Amino acid sequence: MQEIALIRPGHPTDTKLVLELEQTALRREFEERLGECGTLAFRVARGVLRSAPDAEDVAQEAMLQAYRRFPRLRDRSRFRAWLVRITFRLALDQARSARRREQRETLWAVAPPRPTAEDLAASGEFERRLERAMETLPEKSRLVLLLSAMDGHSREEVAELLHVPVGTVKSRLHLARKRLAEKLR
Amino acid sequence: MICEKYRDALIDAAAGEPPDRALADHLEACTPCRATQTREQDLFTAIDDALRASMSETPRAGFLAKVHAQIADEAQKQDAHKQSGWIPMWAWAGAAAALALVLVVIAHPWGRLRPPPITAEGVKAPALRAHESPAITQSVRGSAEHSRTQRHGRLDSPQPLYAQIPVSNQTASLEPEVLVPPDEAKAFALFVARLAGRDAMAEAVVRPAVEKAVERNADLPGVPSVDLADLQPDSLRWNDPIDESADSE
Repeated sequence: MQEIALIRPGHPTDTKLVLELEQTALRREFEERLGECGTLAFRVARGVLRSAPDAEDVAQEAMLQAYRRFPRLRDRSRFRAWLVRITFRLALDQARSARRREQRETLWAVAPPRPTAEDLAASGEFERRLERAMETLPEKSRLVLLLSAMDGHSREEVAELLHVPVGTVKSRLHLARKRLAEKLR
Repeated sequence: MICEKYRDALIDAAAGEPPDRALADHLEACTPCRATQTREQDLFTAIDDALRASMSETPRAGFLAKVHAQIADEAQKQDAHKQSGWIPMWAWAGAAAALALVLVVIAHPWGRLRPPPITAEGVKAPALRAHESPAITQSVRGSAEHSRTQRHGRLDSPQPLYAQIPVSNQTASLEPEVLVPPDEAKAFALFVARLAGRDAMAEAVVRPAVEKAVERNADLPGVPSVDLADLQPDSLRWNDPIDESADSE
């Protein structure tokens, strides 16, 4: 059932009520968009980070930040692109700090035993090498590669999401794939 | 070696670019290049599959519910802050910085700190007036009294010219001011009174040393050079009794 409230603009109590109603409407709008974009944020984070739990944490943080800044977003139709950018930046920050932490820890740790060929095959060595190769790509190419790899994202949609021409998406994608192949060859 | 020139085109074709006619002809004839192309195509397929696999992962079941709960918490926090009149930390920091700036401006009146520009007239005038002014001892009597008169602009008694200039118009003090302890005031008054008759010496005393040095170096005509020996008059002895009449002026 729809809520109905009688308000008198200008009256202090009513002004407060108007603000509260506005905030509630804003929150509802945000939560509706979140239903569509929550998984997208997670996937963008997962594309940068190595573990799913880390990606979830980053996606949550990104959505919380987006909620805080949502009233300042002028063009609401660009919400998806905006959220993708926030998530991507946060995920990159998280990946960098994780890498630094890892480097610090490996300085003190004893070198692990060398894995056998079976170990490598079972533990997804190719994926790990791919992740390392992805880290060497420029940020713009990397984001294009991740978004293009998502199901249902055509080149045109990626171009719209990143607000760049389709030709730019194509060239960035082509170069990124070639560079990855070079690293993995 | 002939296959080397097709290398880039071959990789581009494996990455999904349409192969040109020359490459297609070469591939039909060259078995190693066909094998390389197949290998490259496999590599690109593996990359695409791995990327697609990682990008099609879905978050855990309670993920979105958790996000909604966090947003609800955030909204409650925001409401509580608004109701309690909470002011963010950055606002306090900004206000403190502004207050500090105002205090600094009040504590340092920049105009007072800047020394007034000294003009040639401003420097020479007291030298001439040192022997011209009959009331020179009056100026010696107390610089505090003199500056008070200037500040309030009261001109009850005949004042020297410099005192009639409004304070705002003065670029520098025209009168040589000497701070003398009260018990030495009489002795200094006597000394100045004795100097009154000796223009050159008086001029030498009151003129700044820098100006004298400049004059000496430049050898300007018409200005007599002053020796240090001239500053010690024969008749002035420090043990002389103090002339009370000089002080009574």
